[in-house]
Amino acid sequence: MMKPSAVIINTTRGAVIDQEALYEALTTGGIAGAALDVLAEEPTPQEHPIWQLDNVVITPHQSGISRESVARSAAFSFDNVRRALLGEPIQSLITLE
Amino acid sequence: MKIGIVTWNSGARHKLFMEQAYPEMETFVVADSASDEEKIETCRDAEAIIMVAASLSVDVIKACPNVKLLQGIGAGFDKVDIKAINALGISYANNGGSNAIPVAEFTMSLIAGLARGVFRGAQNARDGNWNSGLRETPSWEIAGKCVGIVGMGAIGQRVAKMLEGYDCDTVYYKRTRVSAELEQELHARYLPLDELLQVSDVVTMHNSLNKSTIGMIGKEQLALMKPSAFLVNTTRGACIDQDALYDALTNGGIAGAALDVLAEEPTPSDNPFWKLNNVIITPHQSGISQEAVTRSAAFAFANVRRAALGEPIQSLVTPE
Repeated sequence: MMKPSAVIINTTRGAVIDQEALYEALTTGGIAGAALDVLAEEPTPQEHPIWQLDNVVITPHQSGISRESVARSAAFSFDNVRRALLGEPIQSLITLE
Repeated sequence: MKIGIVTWNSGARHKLFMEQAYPEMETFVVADSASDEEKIETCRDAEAIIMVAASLSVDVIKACPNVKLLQGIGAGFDKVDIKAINALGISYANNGGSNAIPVAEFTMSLIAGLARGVFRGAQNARDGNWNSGLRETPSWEIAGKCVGIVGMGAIGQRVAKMLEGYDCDTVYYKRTRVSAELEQELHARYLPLDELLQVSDVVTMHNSLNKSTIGMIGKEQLALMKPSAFLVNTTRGACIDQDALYDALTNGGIAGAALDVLAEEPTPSDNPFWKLNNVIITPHQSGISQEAVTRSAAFAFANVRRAALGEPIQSLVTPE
């Protein structure tokens, strides 16, 4: 359904995209290119065929890492566990589907 | 209406460009690589010349007595002898900002690529070094940082608008400060160049190259920059003293640079910049996009039409 001129960017999880279907779309003109910070297999082995494609940029699952986010995530975590221990409402609760 | 076109375009790009000509125009096309004699032969009767190239010899223009306007296709005009052209009674106009979008978009990708370690990560991953130290020494965020724009013409303004989405502090320097209204619209604060260099985490160059801006970023200016700062250049290589830049990049003066333009282009493979892993070099490509070919052609043909009809010409460039 995607335009042949379209590019896809993935910074969430590799498994969200069918890797074989993506490889095929990238090599048969289905889509123009991809930037993948995440892949099904990480680290992606050197012999993986996706490294051979010149319309793909691969980065090593780095998008969420920054100097600032280290401190920010630490502050949030310590604050949240403190809430839990004091019996206060916990933030960012995740419940199962 | 006779229009001469000196062009380095060919094939599809030339066709795309020429589609923007007006029906009443008779166009005379000659390759930029042709001799001056051939250019004169082709453009002799032209009322205006569109220069789809970096420069055109004044001898050619002199030999075309009906020319009223030399219309450039780039934003820069450092290779055009505007004084000599004006002395012949001929005006020079640049591209009216028609490549501001591609340059600004490219600039944003360089800023993000440097700051967020995209280039470093991609290279390391390809080299089989997946973790690549990015977890131990992460790249930093653009949000909350200060980005300094040097030059605030069509391109600098576009960059400022795009930076708004990053939630950063935008400062700019321009020889003549822009209006308070425009500053407000762009959320950009004016600073003298020295101060801009001191406070910016990223400095991006968008001034034109002329006598007063050759080497405007030299040893002294680089020394003002933070050791953690990045320098992005998409204007002209000669705006930055290349030796001083090399020194700053190798002795911790600044953290890195993204250079779409260098003093020498194509940059020879023995240029020492290629050896630096804190430098990204791209081949003077920022202004090129499919859309900009059409946009710049439309602007150029409309402007030469104005010149031929005696109407006011847009984007006139006057010498310093």
